[in-house]
Amino acid sequence: MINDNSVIFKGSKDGLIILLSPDIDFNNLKTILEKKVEDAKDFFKDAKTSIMFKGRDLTEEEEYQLLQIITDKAQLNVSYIYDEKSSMEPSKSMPADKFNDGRIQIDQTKYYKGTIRSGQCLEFDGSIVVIGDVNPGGEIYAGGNIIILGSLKGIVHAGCKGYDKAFVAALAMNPMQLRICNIITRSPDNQAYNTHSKTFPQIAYLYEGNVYIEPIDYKLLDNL
Amino acid sequence: MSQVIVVTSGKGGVGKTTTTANIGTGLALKGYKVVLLDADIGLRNLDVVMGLENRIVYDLIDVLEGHCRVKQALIKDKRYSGLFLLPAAQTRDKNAVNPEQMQKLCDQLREEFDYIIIDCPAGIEQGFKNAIAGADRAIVVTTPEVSAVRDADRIIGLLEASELRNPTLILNRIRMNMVKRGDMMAMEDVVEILAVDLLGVVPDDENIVISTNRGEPAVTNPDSLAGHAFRNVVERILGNDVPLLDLDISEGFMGKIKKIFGIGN
Amino acid sequence: MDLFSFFSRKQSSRDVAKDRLKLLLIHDRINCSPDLLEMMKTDIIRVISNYMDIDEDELDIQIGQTKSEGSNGSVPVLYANIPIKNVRNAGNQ
Repeated sequence: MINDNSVIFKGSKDGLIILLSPDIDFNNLKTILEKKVEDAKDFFKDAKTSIMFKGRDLTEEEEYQLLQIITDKAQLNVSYIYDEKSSMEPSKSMPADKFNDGRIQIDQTKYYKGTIRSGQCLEFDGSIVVIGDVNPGGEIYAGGNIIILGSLKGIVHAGCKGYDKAFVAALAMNPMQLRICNIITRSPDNQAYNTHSKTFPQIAYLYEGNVYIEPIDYKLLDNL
Repeated sequence: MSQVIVVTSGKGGVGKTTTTANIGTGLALKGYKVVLLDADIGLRNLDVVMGLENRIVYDLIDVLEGHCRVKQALIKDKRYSGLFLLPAAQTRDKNAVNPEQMQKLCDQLREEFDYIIIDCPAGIEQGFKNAIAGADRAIVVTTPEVSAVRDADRIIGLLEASELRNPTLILNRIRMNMVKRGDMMAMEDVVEILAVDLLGVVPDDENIVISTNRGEPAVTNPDSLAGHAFRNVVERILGNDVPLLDLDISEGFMGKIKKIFGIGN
Repeated sequence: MDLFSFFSRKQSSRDVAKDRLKLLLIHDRINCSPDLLEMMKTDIIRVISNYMDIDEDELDIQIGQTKSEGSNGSVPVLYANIPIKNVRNAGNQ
């Protein structure tokens, strides 16, 4: 007897959400998924979509198996798989619905003129350019890059939705905290009042899980 | 048996945050497991006084709204292993929290810690109500000024109305030379007016500014008079009977030193 | 400096602060607003005027404190200073 509610397909504007019951055996789940996909074969035919599995913690292996069923049974062209958890992790302050948009649009840029003060927070899915300073306690969250034409003394999070090629550039780089993708770094403890030391432009980027901060030069820009 | 202590004052700028940081650090020095809870949402400062501002990832609101677990938001102090900070959110305001949530959080923290010290925001509104909701006892901080003592009296009234009876008093920033000159209310005057038990008298001390600059509470500084006063406060919280710091002698002593170095007045 | 203040016999600011605070807190604690005092004053004038001729302009009502008889603390009291112009003869009424 197949419980119809164990696997539910839901369409969203960006793709297909598949709700999986956490209560039943994985093999059972596979059978049910297989039958459901078979039933909806015509509907899916040759569609190109992204898929999100929801409602159940899946291992990579399990996810792969489910994906096989979907691509085999329906001629579905899966362009992107994203799961709820990993897309939620990088940033805490973004509302959940923003993450359900699996695509990352870093090509759009928001310009902000003025000082971001303590307690103020700038959020944008794309990149952010601030013409002004970011004071201690001020926060910026961007899906893409962050460029500060001024002094960076607050908290910035570039690539906060999981984009690991994001960078942060500032004319004076003294952040309280600098986050790229899911890596968090903070300024050294003994430099709290030594803010005049770094007043040349610098860029921070992620390389093999580490954040590097370097002066901006041509060689570096070519490699980004 | 763990204890939840709220540090409050009514008036702003009398030294609540400094007191919270010093008492908490002092208790940790004694080997207790302590968490400092910043309830001043939107104007957090305890992180800066403790020198932990650049380690904040999650805050109080994230915990209360279920974005993270309590353990994820707790910041371990860089000097003492038994000391933790739960920072306030900076981008929200006091109305984002209610007293029931705070009470629940305090009860949760009790399981893990010996002492939970809450830094209360100034004022008597929502933020104050949130901060005192889960507390067992209250410490009222005041300075020997008419405005601060008046607000302390109001706060004591409100605390008693909220079943937080017998709050104790810390008289902060007293200047003995001014008291002697007759230009500042003495400890006896304030105690007489407020009619509460005195937990400690803390002298006005330049070291407080210096230690705040560095993000290291003065209680750890053996040369600071205020630090000494806070160490005594900690002893009294632990139930030990310690005589009040004789500020007079200390000042005479300091005066002598100043004279030796030729910087006396 | 100290010599001058000795001769000027001015109350020290410490004592001024203490006295001001004491009075202030009495008002704060019983939550008595100036409006309430004013209303009380009008009522008192009305009642006493039935029996005596009083100087309404010179009438002074204050809240202060006095030593409590029971404990060693002090309790708030209502001071009323009501100058009488003329006691009306009860027989004339």
